[in-house]
Amino acid sequence: MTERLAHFLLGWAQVEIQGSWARFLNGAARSGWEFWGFQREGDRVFVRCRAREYKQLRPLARRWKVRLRLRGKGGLPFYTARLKKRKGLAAGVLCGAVVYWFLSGFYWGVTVTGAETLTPAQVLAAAAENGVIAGASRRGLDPDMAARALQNDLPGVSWLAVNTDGCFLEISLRESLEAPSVEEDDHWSNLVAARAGTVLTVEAERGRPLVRAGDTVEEGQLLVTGLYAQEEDPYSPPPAEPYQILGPARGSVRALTYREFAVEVSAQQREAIPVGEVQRQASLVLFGVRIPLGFFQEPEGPCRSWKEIKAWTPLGRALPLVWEEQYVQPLAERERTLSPDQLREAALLALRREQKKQLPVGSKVVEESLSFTVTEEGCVLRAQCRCQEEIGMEQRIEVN
Amino acid sequence: MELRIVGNRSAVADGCEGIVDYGESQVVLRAGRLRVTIQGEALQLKRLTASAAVVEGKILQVAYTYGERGMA
Repeated sequence: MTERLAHFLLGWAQVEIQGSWARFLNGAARSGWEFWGFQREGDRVFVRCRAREYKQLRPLARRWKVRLRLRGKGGLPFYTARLKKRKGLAAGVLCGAVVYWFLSGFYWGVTVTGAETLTPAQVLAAAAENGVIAGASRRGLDPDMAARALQNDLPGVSWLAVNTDGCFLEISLRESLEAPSVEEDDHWSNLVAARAGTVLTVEAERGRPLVRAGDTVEEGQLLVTGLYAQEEDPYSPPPAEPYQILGPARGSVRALTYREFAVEVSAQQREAIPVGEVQRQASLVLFGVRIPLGFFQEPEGPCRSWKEIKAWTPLGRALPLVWEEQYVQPLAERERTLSPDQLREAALLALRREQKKQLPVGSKVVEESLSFTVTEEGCVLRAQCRCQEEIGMEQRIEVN
Repeated sequence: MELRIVGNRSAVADGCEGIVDYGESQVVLRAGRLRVTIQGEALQLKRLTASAAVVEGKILQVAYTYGERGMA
């Protein structure tokens, strides 16, 4: 193995010997020449010698009256000789190696795993403030310290680690579970009706319900009482001293209620419409550094802008080389008059917003009657709705 | 001349004066008046220097003959 390596590094030449090859080889051996790779084909013998020694064999060949022919050559000197004619190639390889070595001193990308309520963008933004960013120096970043600092900045994170994988960083985190709120049980209360309606369901977790499904209740009516006495069992003798219970009333009472909504929408509306051509600016983002390609002047006045980002992701890994195109569309404000159909649509949208704002969470509108009044100035929409909603409202019992 | 044979695969002739004949089935070396004929199969002359020769292959027979001193 070592011998083969030496032959490759020094270069070799394969020589064909015709004539008195035995006398030639013996004479050459006595003169200190070294051959290897002997082969014989009839009266021709092939041997290998060092590349630079080939020309020095010619005097020996004349002396021993043999004919020498060069039949092959190989080894490192012949490769480097070709490169000498192509200095640019060698320089390019060297520059490429230097650039690769230089770029290996930085982190090329950051990924986030384990985020559930936090978005990866939030985590990456906080990470950037702590130096965990594509383009950060590998020598200058301490992953452990960065992880501790990042965990302090991110709310609701119970565990966080910054892992390195070559030139890539991974932020792995686990979010903490929110502790349930502690209910206050140290006061007495009743559940009363926040609105009038027809009871659909009654669930009393604590306290005694005073209404049943199907009952019609008025606003302020007692639904679940926190103060109640022991009920007498008709099949048992009455107790000597019936007990009384006083505590907080807990539960849910859903009812069918009636609501009226009214919204008004103006026929004249201001909107921004695009004018002119969309302007485009391309940029190259390398390791977080944006290199604009071309001159760009943002137009004055209102405008709408958006970005298209294309990252280079060979083999599924995003590299810190991003092609970014920013588009800017100039806008102009103008007033327009809505058509009757557009007015109705706008009024309906406004109604839905109002219903969402007024109705409690979990409610739904089961039936509604809409009335549109369209004029030149606008549209008035009145709605009469039947809603299913939670009407139980806690009312404290004050004892003086 | 010293001839060392390792099994039937390798023969090192130390002190030989040169080669007389070389082929896949026969290699003849010279050492003064002595001629050493190595016969076998797939014989290869691995090295040849001023005073040594290395033959590798399947060696079947080694024969010594005495002759007059002189070149092959």
